[in-house]
Amino acid sequence: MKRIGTIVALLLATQVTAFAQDWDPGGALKKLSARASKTVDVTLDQSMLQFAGGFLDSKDPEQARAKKIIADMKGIYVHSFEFDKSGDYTEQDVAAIRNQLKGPEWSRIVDVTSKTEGQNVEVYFRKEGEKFKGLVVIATEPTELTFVDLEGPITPEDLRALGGQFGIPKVEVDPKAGKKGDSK
Amino acid sequence: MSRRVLALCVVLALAIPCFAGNDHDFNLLVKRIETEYGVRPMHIPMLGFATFCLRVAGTPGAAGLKIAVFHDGLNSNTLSADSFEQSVETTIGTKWHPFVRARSRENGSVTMIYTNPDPKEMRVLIVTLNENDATIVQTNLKTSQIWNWIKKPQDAVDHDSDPPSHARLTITAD
Repeated sequence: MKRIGTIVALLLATQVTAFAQDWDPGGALKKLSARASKTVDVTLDQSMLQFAGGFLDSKDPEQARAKKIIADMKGIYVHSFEFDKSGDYTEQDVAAIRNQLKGPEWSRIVDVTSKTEGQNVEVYFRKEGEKFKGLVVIATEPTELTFVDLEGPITPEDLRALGGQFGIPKVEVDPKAGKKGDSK
Repeated sequence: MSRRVLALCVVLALAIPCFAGNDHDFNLLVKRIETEYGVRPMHIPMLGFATFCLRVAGTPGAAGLKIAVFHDGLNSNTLSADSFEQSVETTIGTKWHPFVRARSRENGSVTMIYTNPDPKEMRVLIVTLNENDATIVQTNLKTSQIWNWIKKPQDAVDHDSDPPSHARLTITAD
């Protein structure tokens, strides 16, 4: 009986840990969606990524790189919002989402620049030990917001390679970023 | 039904590969919408003939194109996009994966694209709800098109068209 109790406690602890690590901005996104003039959500789950990987051409450098990166990924989720005018979303709206990325496993990559004029990009990565476990990209413009959640062993360098594809903004990332853990 | 929907049908018919004939979920969805909302899909003149001609002409897979257009009684003015979306997803089940979902507040239009990948092909189900009509399209993507979709998933939905949320399949010739 005691052993069963221990197992249950361990299982619960695992679930709690997993929940703490997940980025779940659902409520905040819903609020933004209600105010946005246009909303686009893209979901590329693991089965879709694996399926797509099977059709990517290894001889094409771009596709070959993407194939390699997505092979172990668990999902790519993109949420884009367009607003009628500047001020339709506030810094508090973005902060509500950003604040979820403040756990000890999350770090912000400092040296990131967007290749899109007028766009501000923040990149947060999640590591467990030395292993990359995921990335979140927050791209803001006066009338546009994009949140990208990349789940799986993706490095900042991979992010640069995937920019412009899968709905991910084009970004320039310092190749050394994330190697020693950047400031939050 | 708008000319744009017909144009979309023709583009789809030209682009699709051999079709396995699995249209069970499509039919189920059409039936569910008929029952739940008390509407009937409108007849699309010459669609069957057009797909037949395309098949005879050697365009493989034309028979696989499935389209249902509901012109009256089912539009973004008369029902909640949330409940419509829920109804669609309950009907098609979890084997269809949500791929792209787009909403426009201006007229309440919604576009939902679901995929059902198997080892040989990718089936795509596109459901749009507009101001004046609702459309359901099922087709297969050629393998050469899959990369285009994966690479630029947002392009599958053209918000700037009129009506704004009609799905646009960006399909190029092989």
